[in-house]
Order: sequence, then C-alpha cells, then structure tokens
Amino acid sequence: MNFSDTIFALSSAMGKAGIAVVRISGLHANTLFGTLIMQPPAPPKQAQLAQFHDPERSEIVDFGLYIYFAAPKSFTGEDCIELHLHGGLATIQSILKILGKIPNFRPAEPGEFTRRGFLNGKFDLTQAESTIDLIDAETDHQRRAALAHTRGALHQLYEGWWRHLTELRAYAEVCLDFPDEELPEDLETHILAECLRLTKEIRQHHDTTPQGERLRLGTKIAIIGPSNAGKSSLLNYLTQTQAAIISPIAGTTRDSLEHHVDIAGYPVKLVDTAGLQDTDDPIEQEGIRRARTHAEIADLVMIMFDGNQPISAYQEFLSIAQNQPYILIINKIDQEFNCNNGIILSKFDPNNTVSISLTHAIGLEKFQNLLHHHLQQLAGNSHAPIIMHARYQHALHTTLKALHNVTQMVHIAQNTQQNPDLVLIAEELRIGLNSIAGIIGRVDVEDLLKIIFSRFCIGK
Amino acid sequence: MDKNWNIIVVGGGHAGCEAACAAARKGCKTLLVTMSRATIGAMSCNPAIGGIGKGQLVKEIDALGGMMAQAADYACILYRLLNRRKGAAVHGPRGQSDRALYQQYVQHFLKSQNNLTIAEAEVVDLIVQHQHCQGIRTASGEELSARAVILTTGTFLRGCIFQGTQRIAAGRHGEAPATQLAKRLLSYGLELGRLKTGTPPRLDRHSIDYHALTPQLGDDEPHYFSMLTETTQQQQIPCHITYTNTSTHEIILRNLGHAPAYDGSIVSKGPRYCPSIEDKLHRFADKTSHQIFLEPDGLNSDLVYPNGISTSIDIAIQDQFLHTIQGLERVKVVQYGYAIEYDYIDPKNLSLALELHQLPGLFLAGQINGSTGYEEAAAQGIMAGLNAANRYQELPDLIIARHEGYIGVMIDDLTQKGIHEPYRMFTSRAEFRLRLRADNAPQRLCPIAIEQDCLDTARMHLYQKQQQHRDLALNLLHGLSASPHQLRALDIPVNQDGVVRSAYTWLSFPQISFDELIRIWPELATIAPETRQRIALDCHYAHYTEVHEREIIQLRKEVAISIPRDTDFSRLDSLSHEVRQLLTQNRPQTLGAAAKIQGITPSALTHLMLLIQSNKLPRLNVAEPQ
Ligand SMILES: Nc1nc2c(ncn2[C@@H]2O[C@H](COP(=O)(O)OP(=O)(O)OP(=O)(O)O)[C@@H](O)[C@H]2O)c(=O)[nH]1
Ligand SMILES: [Mg+2]
Repeated sequence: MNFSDTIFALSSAMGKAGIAVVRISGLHANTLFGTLIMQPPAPPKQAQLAQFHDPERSEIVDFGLYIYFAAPKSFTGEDCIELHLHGGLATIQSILKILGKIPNFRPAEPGEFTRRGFLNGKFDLTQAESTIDLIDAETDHQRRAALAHTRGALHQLYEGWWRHLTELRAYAEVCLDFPDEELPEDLETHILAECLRLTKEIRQHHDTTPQGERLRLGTKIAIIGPSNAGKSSLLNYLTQTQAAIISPIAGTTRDSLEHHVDIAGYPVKLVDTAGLQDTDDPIEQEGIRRARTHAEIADLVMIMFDGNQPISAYQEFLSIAQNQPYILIINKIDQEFNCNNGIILSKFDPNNTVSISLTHAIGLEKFQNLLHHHLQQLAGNSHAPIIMHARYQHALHTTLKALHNVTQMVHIAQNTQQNPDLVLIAEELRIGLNSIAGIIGRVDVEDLLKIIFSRFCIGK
Repeated sequence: MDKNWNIIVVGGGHAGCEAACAAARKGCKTLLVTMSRATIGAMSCNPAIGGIGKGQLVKEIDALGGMMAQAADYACILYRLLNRRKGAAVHGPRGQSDRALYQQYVQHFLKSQNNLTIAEAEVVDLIVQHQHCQGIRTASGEELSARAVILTTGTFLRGCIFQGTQRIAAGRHGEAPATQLAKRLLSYGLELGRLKTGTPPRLDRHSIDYHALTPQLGDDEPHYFSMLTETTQQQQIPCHITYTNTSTHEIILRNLGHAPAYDGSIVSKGPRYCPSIEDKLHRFADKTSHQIFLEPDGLNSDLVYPNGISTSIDIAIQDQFLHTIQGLERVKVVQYGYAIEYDYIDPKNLSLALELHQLPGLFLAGQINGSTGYEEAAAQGIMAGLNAANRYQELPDLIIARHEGYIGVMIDDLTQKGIHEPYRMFTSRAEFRLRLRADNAPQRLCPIAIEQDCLDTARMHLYQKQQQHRDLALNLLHGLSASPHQLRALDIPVNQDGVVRSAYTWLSFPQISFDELIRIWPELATIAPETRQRIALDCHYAHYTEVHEREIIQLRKEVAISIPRDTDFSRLDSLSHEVRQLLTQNRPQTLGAAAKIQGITPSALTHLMLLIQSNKLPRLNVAEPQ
C-alpha cells in the first residue's frame, strides 16, 4: 500500500547514552539522500556514519548514524530510514524542523508507523497490538514482555486453546450430526474432564490480567503518612530528581504529585501526597482528600512515619495496611527513635517494615529490595505471556463463562441421571470457541469438520 | 412442440423436479426437458429421505410449497426421528422409501402440475443472445427459447464409472453422459472441478439370511415430513443391521491394488463423511468391525441396499468379502458397487439466487453445483425455480438468510465459500441452529412462501391456523402469573426470590414443563399439544436465540458494507499474494462475504474495511487497453 505522505517522528526519547532515534517512513523517504544525508544510500540494514545537513542553510546539523531499510523489508513495509542523533534536544528539534519542510513529509500520528506496518500486512492483530506496546515500551521488562508477544508466545497459547476447544466441540458435534455411528460412549465424562482442564489453564492466564495492565501502564504506588515525615524526600530519592519541594514546614505538599519512574525495570507511577493532619485550611483539606483517594486506588501504598516524632492517629494507616499491599517506612532513624511508637509499629507486619534515613542514606538497600519484591509480585514475571489487553481479557472471560455453563449442564445431568441437552453444550462450546477464535482470527466450520472426519470413522 | 417458454428446466432429478414445479406454481409456462421420461424422480443412491440436517431441508422445502416431503411421506416404509434424545434443535426426521412408490408419486405429481410440460430430448447447447441465456438447443437441432434456463444435470457432466480396473464413460449406471453440453459450458470459461462418489453393491433380498440379524424398527409415533400429511400411507417394514469383521477386512486390504482409488486411477476428492469401505479400512486400521444397514428397496422389491459398504473394488473381490459378513454368507449381488467421477461447476460462479455470473439467465441447481444428496438438490431446485420465475416476472431475487433456514446456510456456503468435497448438510454448519428446527419450519418459511405467492391454499390455511393457535396460547401464557411461593405450594422446586412471573417466563425454567404449568393453571390444557411443544421449545432455547439476535444484527452490518464491483483486488499490493488471489477469485460483494472466504485474515478484513471507508480501493481501469 502506498500512502502518499511520508511520515516521521522521534521514536525514542533521549536515552541514557544520549542518542535519540528519528524514524522516517514512506514513498519519498529516499529523497533524503543527497539532501539531509549527503551521500548515496548505504546497503539496507547497515548502520552508516554520516553528516546530517540542513539543505536550506547548507550547514551541518549533526554527525551520527543512519540505517536504511528498503521496502518492503522494513517495519512499515515502506522505505524507512532511522537517524541516530547525538546532539541533544536542540539538534533533534532542528532535524524535525528540516523534515517538516520537505514536500509530502509530515509528522506521524501516534501509532501511525505500526498502523502502516499493519495495513501493509506486516503483522497479525495480536502482533500489531504488541508492537504498539513495543514502541511505547520505555523500560526493560515491558520490552521483554512485548517481544514475547510479537514472537507469538501469546498467539501460540491462544491457538493451543483454540485447537483444544475445537476438538472438544468436534466431540459434541459428531454425536449430533452422525447419530447412527458407533461413537465413544464416555463422551460426557470426556467433555467434563476437558472443560475442567481448560478452565484451569485459561483461568490462570486470565487472572494475570492486572499484572499485564501494571506492566503496560505502570504500577501505581502512593506515598502517604503524617506531615513532615519525609514523603516528598522519598519521591525525590526514587526519581533521582528535585521534583518535589521539601521543607521542614509541616504541610509543604498540598496537592498530589505524580511522577513516572523506572524502578528495576518496572514502570512505576509514583504519587507523593499531602501529609494527613488536622487542618482548617480548605485547600489542604482537599489535598488530604486526594491523598486518601490515591491511597485507595494504588497497587502499593508506602506508609511513612517519622520515627522521631510521636505517632498519633495511626488507625487509618493500619486499616490501609490490612486491605492493601503496603510497605511501612520509618524515616529519620539518624535521629533518636521515639520509644512510645514501638507498640503502634508492632501492629504492622515486620516483614513489610523498614527503617531508613533518607538524608543519611541508611537502610536504603533493604528498602529497595523490599520494593523490588513487591513490584515483582504486582507486575509479574515478564517472561511468561501476560495478557496485555482488555480485549483479550474480555474474550477469555466469555470463554470461561461458556466452559462454566458446560460443566454446570453436565453436572446437573449426571446428578439427575438424565441426558444433558447436547445441543446446548455444543452451543456453549461454540460461543467459547468463537470468542478465542476472534482473538487469533480463525472462525471456520471447516476446521471443525476436519477434526470430526479425521478422528471418527463416519459414514455409510 | 411449442418453441417459446417462460422457463426451461433441464434434467428430471430431484433438483429439476422441484425447480420445474416451483416455476410452474408461480404461474410460469414451464418446460422440463429430460433424456428419459422414465427416470424422472429416480432415487439413484440409497432409498431414504431425510436425516440430520437433511430432514430439516425437507421440512423447509415443504414449508415453501415444494413436493419432496409429500413424495417422501407417500413412499415411506420406515419412519425414524434421529437424535430424539439429543435436543429438539437437532431432531432429524428420516424415512426409508419404497423406491418405486417414490418415483411413481413424483411422476404423477409432475403430470398433474399446472403450467408444466415434460419433453424427452438431449440438450446439447444453450442459446445465448446479448450475453444472456435465452434458451436451449436439442440434439435433433430444435431451438427452444425461454426467459431463463435451469440446468440440473447432476453427475451427467463428463461422468466416468470405475469398477475394479474397468472404466466406463457414463452418467448414472446405464445412462449416457452429457459430454456435449459439458464442452459447451466449458467454452464460457467456467471453472470446473472434479469429484467422486461411490455406491455399494445391490443385493438380492431372498439370498440374505435375516434370522441372525438385529432388526431396526421404526418410531411408534411417526414424524411426518409434510405439514399436509396426517397418516402413515404404506405398510411399515424394518431395516436390519449387520457388521463387517476381520475376515472381511483382510480380503479388502489384501486386494486394495484392485481398487481404482488405490491404484491411482481416481484422483478426485470423495466425501469424507461417506467413505468407501476401502477408505474406512485404510484410514481407521484399528477398527475391527463396521456397521452395515441393510435397507429394503421397497415393499415389493427384491433389492436390498447395504448402507455402509460403498466400494469400487474388483467385482470378484466384492463377492468374496460380502460372503464373510453375517447374514450375507450366500448373498447374490444384483448390481456391483462402483465409484463415479464427475465434473461440477464451481458454485462460486453463482449468485445467491443460483444464477451464473458469467451468463445471466442460466440457473444451476443440484449436484452440478458440487452438492450431494437428494434433499440438498431439491432445496436448490426449488430456490432456482422460484428465482428463475422471479426473473421472468421481473421481481427481486429470493434469498433465504442463514438465520432463516438451512436452505439459506447451504446456498450461502456454496456460492460464497465454494467446496472441496461433495457438499452435504450438517447441522454444525448452521451457526443459528437453535432457531432452525424441523418443527418450526412453517413458522420460519411459510410467510416467505406466501409473499412469494407460491404457497397452496391447503398449506396456507394450516399455517394460519397454527399461528392463530400460537397467538392465542401466547396471550394466555403472558396473562397468567404466579409467585415462587405459589409454585412451592404445588411442590415445584424453584428459587424463592419472591418475583412474580408470567406463565410464559416460568416455562423458560428448565425444571418447569408444560404439564407442570397445567397443574398450576388447568385452563392451559386447552392449548393443543403441538402448540404446547413448539412454545415450550421456543422458551427452552430463548436465552440463546436472543444472543443470536445480536449476532444476526452484526452479520447484517458486515453484509451492509458493500465492496464496489469494479474493485481491482489484484492491485491491493499491501495484502499477501494468497489473500489477493482469494479475493480476486471470490470477488466478494460485501465485507460479510469477504469475511466468509476461507483464508481471509482479520488483518486483511480490517484493511479492506479501512480502504472501503477511506474510498481508497484500487479500481479496475476499463478504459486502459488490455
Ligand atoms: N534528619 C532527617 N531529616 C529528614 C529525613 N528525611 C527528610 N528529612 C527532612 O524532613 C523535612 C520534611 O521533609 P519532606 O520530604 O518535605 O516531608 P513531607 O512528608 O513531604 O512533608 P509534607 O509535604 O509537609 O507533608 C525536611 O526538612 C527534610 O529535609 C531523614 O532521613 N532524616
Ligand atoms: Mg511533602
């Protein structure tokens, strides 16, 4: 497919090594040779050193690498060029500006590279969706999970279930369409056993859904605690920035502050909140209300106390700890520990408690380990195929429901010693099967008939 | 003979007969041309009508005013409702027919059909004017004109019979194949495919020892095919069951080299659901025995049809293996089994009205389209007949949707997906199976028949009476209500949720039967048993049919996205070569049709949809010189 426009975009933000990648795709990508890139095209898929040139001003903008991918052997199926730039933000901006001035060139819409690749038949549906994730992957774990999808781990998994369900349906259908044949007698037992087995497998996968979501969108962590405990200091420590204002004045943070951060390869959405304290200030009250909301929806709550100060209202924190994954952090252990706090702190799980000093860097390694442990629990092991999309989840849910109904019908029939309505069993299997088939794009009665005729000796 | 007709039907098999009668019923002056008047209505394979899926087709033909159901009832000598215990949606009425009586009925019916004339002739050519088929030419050079021609010539296209090492060019046994017409059709550039089918040997009844065999009796309460039938018309006789054994298998396997399918002479595809005994032994080597139904050919016939051992092996071997089978130790073969290979016209060349794309005015029905079975043929026949008549009367095409009938499923499958093997109806092909029951065929199709003006008054009155009873019953059921408490008082176990429900709603509970309702409300006993049963079934499946309703809407939406006729699929460069080829071959006219093509990926569909919506489909450039 030839789209008339050639599109370009910064496809990776400035990375650690200080390299940014700009990607160009389309019919006219080649016109860059001799203009922006002052040399004839290098052989496809080979990194080539070059000067990047501003043709209008005849000056060199940057010195870097490019890789040329000739159509159709590229990610989009079109002619593609990747520029690897060194020169920082200003350079990136001037390159993008130069590209934008070339006739038929325009900035890409979000996901447009993938869409083109998809429309050019480069991926199937599951692959395309994972590829969008791949592009968006900012962190290591995300990239690994996304890669596993693109290689079809997920596809294989679904196809396996699809095949089993088709076989199971074939068992039911053969009895409906060929009643005079000599068929297996233990049919219902077989259907029941297979249903239960599949239910177990699919359920296990289905239940990983929140993990997949966290891996994609980031694990939500809220830092809460009394005023002045050091919450904002913790955010700054974890993000290695000065994002939050820190001060010895209680009530410094008045609104929640969100920050995206990569912790041990996991994407994390970290929220610093206003300290919980009694106040008449309506703005501060609103801040505290928001803090509570954040705590409620967080995947993990970090409760922070100042070990030096007497802890007064702890009930609220205790009830959070009873309902959600949490880490209790006792800060400021460089200062004297207030012994009256001992009884209160003993109400929390000691395995989820760490004592640290942010200003004196004490206990931080233990804290990090505990945090990583929680993240792994919450966001999962990225090597197993994890459901990445609500669409899959929905489809699997439908399949599970259908399997449940089949199990139910067989049970009732067995208990009442009656024949189950095999047509309804077959119908439920059809519903469950079609739902999975929709993900991998295979809905065809021929697949069913093939199994029937190869498994069963049918016909007169 | 008159030279001008409204409709000409070629062929007097099951498709031809229904087509001719349907066109005549619609008031068209119709001519049926056959090579031999005597073979009209012949059952060329086993003497039985109906079965699973097939039985539903017969009921549907009946609801459209067709003939087959009445013929089957007239000739039936053993009624069996298949799948009786497996759920009403798949009940399949089947009947063993007296071959002679069946044929007699059909011939009589055709003779007494108004507007229908029968002529004996070999059709060798079609008359084509202005790229339309406008008539036929016979072997004697006669030209007969018509607004539309329906071709139902079965396996007569380049048929070839195999028996051991022998090959005979022929149609059905003992008849000449219509090779000239085949050549003529080929010249219009139609794609032909080749299929095979087989038959078992026919046995002499008196040489069978029935004492040791298990009889299979008919149903006590027969389920008739036609809504017009009220009583059993013939004496009922049983079938018998016997089995092959290891000695049988040994003989066949030792002589596979003498079977044409195994010595390489037959390469075409036979039906997987109807394999020869050679195939069964070859593919399922671990089975030590196969079932055989010994079906009587009729009340006064000496022939027996051993259903289950179709074969084309050398005739000496046929004798040998038959004699190893219990009851057949001294059996005499009247006619040996054979395989037949024949051409079919790829049904993807046809519109949903069964009209040939390449040659408007020519309709095809039956085995010529790659289907198998009397019922499949007859169902296409009636549809081709009605549509040809519509063409003459300048009315729109009649298309039965997939959710309206098995007829719709079959024609949609044939014309949109094509075939790889002889097409037979299975209920699993129908995604809306739960609503396509044998018992509700009149409810589904009589309204269509009335609208098409092809339903006789007898059926119309019956249908209207059924509907009246149904409406009255439904009013009654919706008007009565009870609480779970009241039900418990009558020992009917229900969840005590306190919700008062109508009698109709209570009926959809699996544990509540109609009899139970009558215990609560004695006035419901006034509802006739058939009406009770039909409503109870509707309720039983209601949950699922409501879900289907949504699928049907989705289906309609997909079908509503139309693909321009002049789309150049070969220039959809972004699609894989295979997909492009599939689209070019099938030329889907809607997104729904494209979705049904085997091998079309969802990404290809999304792609197509995006292109249609952005109006970017490449078009055939007609102005460009070829
Ligand atoms: N001695 C000591 N002081 C600390 C430590 N961590 C933070 N502080 C100090 O405690 C004070 C409060 O820190 P913040 O991070 O602003 O506290 P906060 O919990 O965000 O406070 P609010 O936003 O007002 O609720 C600052 O003066 C920090 O420098 C620590 O480990 N030891
Ligand atoms: Mg703060």
